Amino acid sequence: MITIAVAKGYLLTETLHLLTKNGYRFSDDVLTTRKLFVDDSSNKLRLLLVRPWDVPAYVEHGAADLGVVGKDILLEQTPNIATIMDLSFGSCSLVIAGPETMNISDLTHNIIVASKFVNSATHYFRSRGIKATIVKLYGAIELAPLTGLSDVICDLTATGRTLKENSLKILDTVFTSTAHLIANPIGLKVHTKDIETLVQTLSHNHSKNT
Amino acid sequence: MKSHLTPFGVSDYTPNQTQEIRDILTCASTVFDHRLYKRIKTPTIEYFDSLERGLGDNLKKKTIKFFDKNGDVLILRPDNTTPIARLVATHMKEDPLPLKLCYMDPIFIQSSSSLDGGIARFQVGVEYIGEESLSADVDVIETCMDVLDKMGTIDYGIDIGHIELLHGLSDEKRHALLSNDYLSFGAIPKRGDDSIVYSSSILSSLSKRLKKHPSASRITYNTGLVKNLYYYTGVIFEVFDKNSKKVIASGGRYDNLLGKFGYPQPAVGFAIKVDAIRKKKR
Repeated sequence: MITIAVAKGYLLTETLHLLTKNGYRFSDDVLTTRKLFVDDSSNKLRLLLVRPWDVPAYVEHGAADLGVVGKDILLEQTPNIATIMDLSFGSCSLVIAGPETMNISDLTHNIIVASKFVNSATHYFRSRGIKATIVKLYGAIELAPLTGLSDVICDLTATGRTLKENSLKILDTVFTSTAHLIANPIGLKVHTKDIETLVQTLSHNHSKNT
Repeated sequence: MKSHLTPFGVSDYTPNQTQEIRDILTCASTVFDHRLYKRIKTPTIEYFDSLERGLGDNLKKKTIKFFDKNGDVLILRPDNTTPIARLVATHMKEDPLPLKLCYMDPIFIQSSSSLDGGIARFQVGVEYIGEESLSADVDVIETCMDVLDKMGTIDYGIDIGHIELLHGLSDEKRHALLSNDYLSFGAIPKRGDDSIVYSSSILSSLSKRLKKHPSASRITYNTGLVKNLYYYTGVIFEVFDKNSKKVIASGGRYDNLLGKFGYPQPAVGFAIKVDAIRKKKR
């Protein structure tokens, strides 16, 4: 049996869609269940239903053989895992955003940045030679510049709607992201055949779609 | 400080835990003696200056550094092979070759998580110096397998590759392999029996010789096995525990290292991560 850690939410819906299309069957209540893991009807796959930020830990330390997680989280955490495939869904961008009156030239020394992506934000400003102070927040990042906690934010956006609703505009894009299939390097060796078969069916179906 | 905790990355060993380490060391000692590897010891503390030339960039960064009373930079031994190369080049140039040496000492490197092994990592291993023929590679790989077999309880697999399989690959592809980025590499590298490495005459001959070993069925050839390109010049191998999914030993040929200490000699060796095995056993 192959164990796959999947980020609950949109990525789980898309992953189930992809797996179901490839002949795997799961009980109907997977998306709503309070269970922490589910097996497919043939007992070939076990899905661990975990938080997005926890997927790399499960895979890196071998509790899961495979994982489905956004590239954004991989770039932020740089876990020691093998990257297998770009699944193309779940696309979003990590952006620097600020009040509508701001421009990219206003990103200057001693700027205060609110973000959940501390490493990515630090790297962004460091590589531009700008001294920045990062305030780590866990959610509702848009509130920070509105309340004076920070000058700008470094946050994910898919459509830009939440930013607009909070009168923030995108000043720069740090990176773009899609869901990726990752593997534990040793799990990949122990289950070579099964994982290769799974990857082949997924990429076949995948290319037919795009 | 009120607590009695040990610092991050190191730990105490109670009698039971110490016994587990001793059991592993006993297995290793028996095999090393049988295969005529001689035990040597290098100091825990070294001059950064003396070892720097032998350390790759990554290891240099992870080295634990401090100063002596003259302001010279001291380091804790960050691996066993580099100090042994220094020792051989300084004290053993007159000794008849080849040299078969073994060690059982911890290494110390900066670590951000105890799950990756922490700061103090106990290692046992061998270095076979002054012999470039395949017999040395065979002896080293078999010695490693003998030690693991002697412990009895480990369901391990061993992947063997060769640096020459990377020839002709662009820097980007090599980098992709090093970081296990098979998306950028374009495919999951092929693994299988020796038929997948027929293009490498060295691996084909190596495979013939290794087939006689009782644990030969644990061997898989891997066209994408790369580790530390700064070090390795020939055969590379990596041993993993199928249950814990941890790398428990690794090794390979490093023909350029001793030259950096002024005594150019071919060499091949391996190190077993004692703690990775011990944690699994529990």
